[in-house]
Amino acid sequence: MKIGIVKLASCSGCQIALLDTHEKLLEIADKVVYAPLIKDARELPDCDVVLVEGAVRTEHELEVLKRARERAKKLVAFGSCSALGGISGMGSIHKPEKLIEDIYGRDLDYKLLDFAYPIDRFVEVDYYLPGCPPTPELISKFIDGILNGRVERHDYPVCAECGRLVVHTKIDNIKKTELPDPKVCLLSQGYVCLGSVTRGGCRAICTKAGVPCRGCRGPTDKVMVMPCKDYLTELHDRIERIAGFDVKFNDVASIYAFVFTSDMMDKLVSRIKEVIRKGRRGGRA
Amino acid sequence: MIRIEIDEDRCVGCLECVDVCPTGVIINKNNKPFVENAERCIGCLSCSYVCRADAIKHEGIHVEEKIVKNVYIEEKVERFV
Repeated sequence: MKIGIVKLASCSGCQIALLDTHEKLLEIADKVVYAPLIKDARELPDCDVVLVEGAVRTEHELEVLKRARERAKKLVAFGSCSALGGISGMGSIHKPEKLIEDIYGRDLDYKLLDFAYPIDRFVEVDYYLPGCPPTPELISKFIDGILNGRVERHDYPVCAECGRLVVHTKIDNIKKTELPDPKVCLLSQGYVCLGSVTRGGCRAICTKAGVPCRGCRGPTDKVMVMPCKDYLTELHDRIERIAGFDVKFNDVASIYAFVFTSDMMDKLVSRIKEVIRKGRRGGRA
Repeated sequence: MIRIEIDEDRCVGCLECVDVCPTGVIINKNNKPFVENAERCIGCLSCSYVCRADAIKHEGIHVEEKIVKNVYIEEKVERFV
C-alpha cells in the first residue's frame, strides 16, 4: 500500500492534520511515499491512494493534478479546498488580475485560472474527505477504511453530534460578540450557526466550545441532492421558526465561504453567482 | 405498517417535526417529540426532511426510491465521506 500526497493551492493545513494523528501516524508514515511537506522524494511514483490537497488555481497545478490522476489507483480530494473550493475558492470573488496586483503591487507574467476550482472539475475523484482541516480522527478512520475497502460515510448534520438543546425564543437581531449560553442551541440564541446544514463527523468541536459552525465540511447529502435547498433558505427558515425574526443576511459571502466554486451548490436558489458577480465588478461581496 | 423511530441521542428538541406532521403522529411530550399512533402515518417523510439532526427513521414504507433524481449529483454525493 503506497500513499502519495499532492499539494495544490492550499495552506498545507491538511498535511499538518495528518501529522496530528498520534500513534496512527507511525502506521501511516511507512506507507507515505511522496509528500512535499513530510517525505523527501522528487517524483510521484505509482500509488494506490493519492491524497490531493488544495484547489486548482494555476495551469501548473492542473498539470500536477492530471499526472496525479494517471499515477493513482484511487484519487482522494483531501480537505475542503480540493473537495468544494474551500478557502482557496474564496479568491474567486475577485478578478485574477486584481488578486495579483493586490499581492505583488504590479502585474506579473504569471497566469492564474479564472476561478479556483475544486479538483473534480478536471479529473474523476474516488472519495471526498472535506474538512478545514479534516479532524485527525476522521483522517485515521478514513485511511483505516480505505485499507479495508470499506469507507464509513457521515451523512448526518453537525447538530446530531452537538448536544445543545433548542429553546423557542424571541430575538431581535443577529448576535456576534457576546458569550453564548453553553447548553442552548446557538441558532436559538441568535448566532448564525451553519451546523444544521453542514456534514457532521467532526464531533462538533466548534459548537461544543461555543463557536458557531462555519460549515467547513460542506453541505449534507440532503442539501446537496434537493434542488430547492440551500444554505440561505434553510438557515432563514430555521431561524425564523426558532428565534422568531426575519433574518437579513448582510454578509452572504461568509455563509458560502467553503462552497464558492463547487458545482454541487450550483442551484437556482443559491446566491453564489450574485456574490461573485458583485465582487468582480468591484463592489463589496 | 409503518414504524417510526426517533434517535434520542441525536434529537435536539427543536420540535419542527411536531409542527410539520400533517396527521399528528408525532406529538410534543415534555418538550421531546414522541410517536403516538404510527398507523396514521401517511409516509410523506416531511418530518425526516425537516429534521436538522437526521434523527427520524422510517421502516416499512411503500415509497423508498426518489422519483426525480439527478444522476450526476447522486453519484458524487455517494463519494463524500
